[in-house]
Amino acid sequence: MSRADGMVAGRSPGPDARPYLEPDVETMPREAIAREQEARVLELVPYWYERSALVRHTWDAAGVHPRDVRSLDDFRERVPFLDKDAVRAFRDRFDDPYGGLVCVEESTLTAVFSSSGTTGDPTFFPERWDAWSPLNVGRARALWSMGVRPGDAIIPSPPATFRGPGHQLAEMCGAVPLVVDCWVGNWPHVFEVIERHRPVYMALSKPQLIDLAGHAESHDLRRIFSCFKAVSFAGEPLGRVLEERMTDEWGMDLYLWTNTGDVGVSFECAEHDGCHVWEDTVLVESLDPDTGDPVPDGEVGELVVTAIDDRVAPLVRFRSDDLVRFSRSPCACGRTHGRQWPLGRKGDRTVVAGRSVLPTDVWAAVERVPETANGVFQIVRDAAETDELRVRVGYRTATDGDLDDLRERLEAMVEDAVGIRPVLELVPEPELLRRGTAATKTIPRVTEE
Amino acid sequence: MTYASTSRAVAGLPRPDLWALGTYTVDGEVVDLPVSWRDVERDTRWAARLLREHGVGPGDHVLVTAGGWEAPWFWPVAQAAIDLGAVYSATEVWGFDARRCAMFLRRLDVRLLFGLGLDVAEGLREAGHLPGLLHGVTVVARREAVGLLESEGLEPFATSPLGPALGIEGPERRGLRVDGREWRLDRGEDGLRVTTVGARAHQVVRQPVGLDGSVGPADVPGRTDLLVRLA
Repeated sequence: MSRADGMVAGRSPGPDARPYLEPDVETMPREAIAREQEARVLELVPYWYERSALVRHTWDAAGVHPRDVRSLDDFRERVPFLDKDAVRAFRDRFDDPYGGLVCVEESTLTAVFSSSGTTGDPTFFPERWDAWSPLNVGRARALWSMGVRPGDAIIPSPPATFRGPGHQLAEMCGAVPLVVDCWVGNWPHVFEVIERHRPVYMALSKPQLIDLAGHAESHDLRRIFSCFKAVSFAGEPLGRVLEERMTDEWGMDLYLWTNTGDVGVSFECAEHDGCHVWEDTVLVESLDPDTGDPVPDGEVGELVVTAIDDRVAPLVRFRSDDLVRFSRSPCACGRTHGRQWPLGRKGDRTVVAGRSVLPTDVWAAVERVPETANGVFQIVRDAAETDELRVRVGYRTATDGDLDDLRERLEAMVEDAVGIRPVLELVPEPELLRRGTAATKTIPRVTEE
Repeated sequence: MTYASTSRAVAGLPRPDLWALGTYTVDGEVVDLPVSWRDVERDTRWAARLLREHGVGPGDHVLVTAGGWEAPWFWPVAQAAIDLGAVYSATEVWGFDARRCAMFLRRLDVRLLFGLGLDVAEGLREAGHLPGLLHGVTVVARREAVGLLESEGLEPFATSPLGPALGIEGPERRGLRVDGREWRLDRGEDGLRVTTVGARAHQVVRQPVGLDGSVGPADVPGRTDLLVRLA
């Protein structure tokens, strides 16, 4: 029987203390970023109009022509928005699977991936590669900042492949990917692999973490994960309780990351204070979700993105539906690229008796109750404005005691957090988790049923 | 800056000989599966020849249904599709992702679907997508899904990991073909056994596969493939 013990360990060519993978890019002065963005946008405006059927269709309808855009200010003032509904509508109306976004011959594409489908009908992400999926640009910079170096072993991503092959990230970093099934139910196997090969990085999602928490009493997770330089998490808000377990109890150096409005990815740096948006690849605007006006730096706004490094299927002034705080203020890590703090989906806002409620508002309350500390819940509504706050909450099946007591404590906690007495539906946690239908098996936090 | 600059930044990094390290199970024990860069390059060339025999060419869409942990077996197929000039897409192996799999099949002109497993096949059937969505698609399904697909009137080809090796049925429909320059299979008292014959990072000698069947030469002109007929 062949074993590869030690094949990964010992292959590191030695420490590389450089803090940045691309120091000239990651720390370039803000003025240089702005100059570069303006030059890139002005270069691309005619390209977008000529090549993207959706852009041309949308701009023509708004009476905008490339000759009207001579500066970044013109771009921000005149160019109309796109959003996912516009892409879907164009797709359906013109029978174009890519929603009018593709600017190149379809036969020259390398790959077509899609969104997970958490919030609706998935849309495609067409890509052309030199060697790797472009999505790995932001990931590679992030992993370098976490200390991943050539020769290290990493578990590169959750086991899903819907946004591209995870092993490519390891290839880019010169690391060895441990391609193991780390999906729900397989932690004992993953523990074995970790013990044998001592990886330094792993990406986790919420279903995996909830499953991992179930092993906390039977395994010494702090010891098992002691070899890790970093663990990353994305997909939805983590929740304070689970975050504290990961960092304080299990000793993980946790890096949150999030999408940059379907244009790229944003990762925390070692300061753990916001996720860096790679502004050499994307032009970011943070706008009032209702008026479309710019919001001040650091205030809550909707993330609007323009891909300035994608000639294949660029999103231009794309309203992401993501509510974030975005700031271009300096970060102590030395990187000059802006940071975002994700807050939730704009479409997930529910107005209950005149009061605005986001899932994150309910989250903190739900996870404060021990039986529901995993934060598995959904806001149930049939319209964005409702008279009552209906919340379906998953409780641990090992819960002893009566559910009436749990219900009473939860109601009080939610009311204390959001100022509205909720109408609760209690469901065993595994049953609620099974309702996830997206590629990531994430449950929608707001649902009609 | 950007994709180009990051590609340049990482191009000079030292790289280990190992492309990836996977695992598989033998008699209930987890076994490491190291795969070198040279291994995956040869596996990709072998898979490309089979995909070409199945008619895959430039501009075709190839949808691969596989988990990330199955990369040692299935990534060479995806890379082969790319190398042939086809467009590669990916969906998951879990039944709950059947909806996305259906979306790819509905919206793109998929030429070949590789790796369709039982869970997703059942999901497609329950949603009423079989056989309609697979009409005109060459389906290379995992062996456990073949029966379900055949019961729906489809004529899938089969694929299956055989321990560390991968078997793929060719268009001649005679059984699973295995790269004879990399692996040797024989039948022992307890079923099929696999031995490494190529210069691979993973060397095994008569390791149980966990499946039974017969082995012989594939007799495909110009190829040294083995032919495995699973019992």
